[in-house]
Amino acid sequence: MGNTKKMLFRAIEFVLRIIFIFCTLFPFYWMLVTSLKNRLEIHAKVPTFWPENITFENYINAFAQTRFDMFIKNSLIVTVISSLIVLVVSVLGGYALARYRFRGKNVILIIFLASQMIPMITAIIPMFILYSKLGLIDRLASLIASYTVSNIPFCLITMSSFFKRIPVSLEEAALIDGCSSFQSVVRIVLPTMLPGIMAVFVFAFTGAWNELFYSIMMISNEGRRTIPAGLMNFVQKYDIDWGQMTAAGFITLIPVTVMFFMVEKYIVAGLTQGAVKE
Amino acid sequence: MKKVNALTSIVLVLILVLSVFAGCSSGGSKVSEESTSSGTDSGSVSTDNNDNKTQTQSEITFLDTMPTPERTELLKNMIAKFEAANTSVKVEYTSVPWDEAYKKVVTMGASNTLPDVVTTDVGIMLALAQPGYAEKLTDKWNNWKYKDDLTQAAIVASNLYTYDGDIYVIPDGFLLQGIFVRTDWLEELGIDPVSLQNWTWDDYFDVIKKMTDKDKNRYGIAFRGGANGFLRFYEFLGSNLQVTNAFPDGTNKSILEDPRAIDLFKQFYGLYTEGYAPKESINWGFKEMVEGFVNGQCGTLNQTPEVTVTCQQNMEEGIWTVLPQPKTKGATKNHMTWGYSAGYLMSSSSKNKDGTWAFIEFMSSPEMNLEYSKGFGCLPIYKSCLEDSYFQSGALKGYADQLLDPNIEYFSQPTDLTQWGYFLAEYSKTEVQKYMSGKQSAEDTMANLAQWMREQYDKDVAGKQ
Amino acid sequence: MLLLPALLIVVGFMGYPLLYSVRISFLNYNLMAPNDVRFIGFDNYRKLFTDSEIKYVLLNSIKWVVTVVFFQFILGFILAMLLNKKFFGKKIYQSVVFLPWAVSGFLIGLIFKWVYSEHSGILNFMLLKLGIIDSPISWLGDGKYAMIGPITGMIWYGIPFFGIMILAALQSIPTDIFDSANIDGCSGIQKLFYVIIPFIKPTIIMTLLLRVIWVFNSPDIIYIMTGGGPANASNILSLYVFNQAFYSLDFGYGAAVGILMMALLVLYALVFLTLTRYERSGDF
Repeated sequence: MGNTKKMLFRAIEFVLRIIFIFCTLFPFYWMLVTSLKNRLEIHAKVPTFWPENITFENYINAFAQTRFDMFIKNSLIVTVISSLIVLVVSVLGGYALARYRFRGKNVILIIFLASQMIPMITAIIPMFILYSKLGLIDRLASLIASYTVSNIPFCLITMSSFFKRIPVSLEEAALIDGCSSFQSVVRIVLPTMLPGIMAVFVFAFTGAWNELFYSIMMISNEGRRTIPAGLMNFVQKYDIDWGQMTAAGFITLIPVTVMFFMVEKYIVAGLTQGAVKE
Repeated sequence: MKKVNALTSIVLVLILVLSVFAGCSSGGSKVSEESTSSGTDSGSVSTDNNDNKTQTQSEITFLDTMPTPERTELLKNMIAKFEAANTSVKVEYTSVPWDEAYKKVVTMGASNTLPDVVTTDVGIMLALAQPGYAEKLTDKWNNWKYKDDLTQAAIVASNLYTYDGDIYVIPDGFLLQGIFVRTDWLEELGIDPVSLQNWTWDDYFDVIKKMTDKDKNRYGIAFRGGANGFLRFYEFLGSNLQVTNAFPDGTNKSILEDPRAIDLFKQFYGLYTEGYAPKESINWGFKEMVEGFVNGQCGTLNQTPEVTVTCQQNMEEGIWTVLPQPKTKGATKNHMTWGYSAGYLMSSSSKNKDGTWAFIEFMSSPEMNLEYSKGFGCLPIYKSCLEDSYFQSGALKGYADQLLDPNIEYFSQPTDLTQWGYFLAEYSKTEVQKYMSGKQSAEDTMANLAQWMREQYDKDVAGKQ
Repeated sequence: MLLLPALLIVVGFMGYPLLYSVRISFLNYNLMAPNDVRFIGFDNYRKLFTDSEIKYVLLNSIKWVVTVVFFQFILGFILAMLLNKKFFGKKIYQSVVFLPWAVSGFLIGLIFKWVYSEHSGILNFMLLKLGIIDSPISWLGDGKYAMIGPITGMIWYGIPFFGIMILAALQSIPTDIFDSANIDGCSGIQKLFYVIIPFIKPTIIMTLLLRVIWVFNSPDIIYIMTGGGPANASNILSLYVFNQAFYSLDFGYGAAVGILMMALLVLYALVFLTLTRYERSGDF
């Protein structure tokens, strides 16, 4: 009886996994297929599920007509710097928010939340004024600043919710063993939190990597564009070219995919091994 | 240089991170101070990164609001020629995609960060001229050295680059509507495209209806239900009523209140509600319409000449052509509207107005204007350019002939209404979409639109007198 | 003290824009009338209640947020549970199912617009082929369906977010808690409700809270797929206000709506935090 139940459970899990992966992959697959078709085939009456004549024309155009190498470099600079700052600041702040009791804690929480809700329509003009005073307009630094600011609240709060889950007893144990409180955090708590830290990092990374609005508003010089803004160039005023757009889209996915595959093992890694037993 | 600095800043941050992770002995508060200062450090490092401008010559910034890869190359070539002729001025080319251009330019205006030269359409011009972000070019225009060579079309349409009596934009070239048609579809129907050269609106509607064949997934018209779609109806209305502006009586009673207007409205939007256009086209803007025509879903497209370039690139040869805009039956004059595509506007906050003006003047000289018009696909502003063989043959001939037609009468847009841009992009779009989707009657829709025109006229025109 | 860097950065960069927004929301601040900037009290706020479209758009916003977050959360939770076990090919599987999160909203909008396209779209083709519908449906052009496209796009985008966050939380559950639960003879369902959920409650609360705010303020997929049309049928408040303010250049009014939206969200956050007793959860 117990075994059949287990089998059934496994089967359900299996089916669910298949469904998930199918739904996830389908849009990607369709994007890839479209990017490999020529224009006539893209708009054919009966869509083909695999291109009849594979063409790399769209990819060649994407590279020939834009400076994708430049966009990728800019995106990397902006994204890496801002997400590292976000990470450090969030670990510090998240810890404080989770562990210490102090007055005005809720106020701080609300300040962070509120900063996420400031209406973009009106915020963008004073931001321009502020940045032009700081000499940041049309500089990558303006994007680094914007992305850092917009990602901190979320990352910090999430981080604090991760800290909250780590039993205080874990730290206390370390204290007893003679660690300073800072040591105990660094040596004991942070390693346990690695998956959470990685998740937050991934969030800050993708948030900055994909951001379009600031990038378009703040950067005018082609040489300083990031990938999403560069991609926007494919949506020209005169036409929608699905082949080129999907090709360009696919290219932008490659770096993030690589990052995902690299970081993933940290999120997966079982982490409780080595944690202090209660 | 750049790379090294970027690397340094990354390394800096990495070191910081490591120091936080490794620094066992330091107290919490100290670490937090370090991280603040280094956070700003890394920001400023990357600022310096890109700050390798030279100050030896004056530099002006040029912002193009409708970049495409071809157009960007065209403009860069022209800029290179300008720099070769004026070695003391250097032009930095920048751009913003059209869809976001309005928002960006307005924001730049309000925060006093506008570049020296911006390419603008009427909407952007109005948004920049009224608050005083744009430089008045009236005197310069009046003393323009090529003034006598300007086409009649440029002179007649000058109210489009004028606001409150002053000129703010030097037009780059003109765009007017023409009807792109699928000639192969016409042949199947036994219609000779040549016979349509002098067609009326009724002929046009008739062709659209005949072309529609839902079983074959064919529709007669690539309809524009999205932003600025109202302009096509506005044009149709003006042509039929034979008027030259939206308020022909000089009162707040607009042409939308003309007794014939409601039937014309039903007739025009009937093309959509009766199924001669794809249902989806209720949201269509510029790009979607062109796509609908190019991919063989729609048989006609009411568009401007620069679209010919897209069609040439993406459609088989010989299956399409451009016909003139239809005329009103029995009318002697042909009332229509046209406008500049992307004129040059100077920012009033420019620090180098002489250099900027030299640039605009260069870009608008007959020689450059001809090069630009050919490359971009618009009609030049000079008579001498229009006579060029390029505009006297091929798809553009139809457009050029229309402009040279002695019976053409200019039908203006009410740019005195400060909110006209908002009306085209937002208000009329929503109201008309309500009608198109069956949520609101034609009568109510027209009443709302007319009401809006009345109120705005009272506020902006009557209120000023 | 540890909070200082975060606070300094956020307040430093967002404080001025916020104060500026509050100030102009009380002004007659229209760029089209630059000589007529004056204090008008609550007029901008009052105007809000005379705007007949607002109610409709607000309702759409609520529909949008509730459906999107609900499905993102449920499906994300299931995904995390599925991934919290060992199985063949898990490493690759996990990286793949998390991928949508790495895609920009802009690109998602485009892909889904392409899939939902009335005539060249693959969805209509498949539905026709399977005989589920007899004529192409205008998914994005018909007010009845216009929300469906952007909503599915947004759900697709957000499932991995919940998946990653919940999975990360699940994995930091110390194994000994499970051990003791097993000793106590808990069934799978019991474990879920009495061990797992309470343990990851802080994460659930926080992700839900932030997600709601975020989805509320993220119209990019809608903007690209339908532009909010037809006739506002798929418009949400953040996009509506944005367009209204920019095209009419009435920034005073735009700011007023923005501030009101913010107040609404802060209120929501407060109520949510109080109801879920976030402060006390996780202290065990």
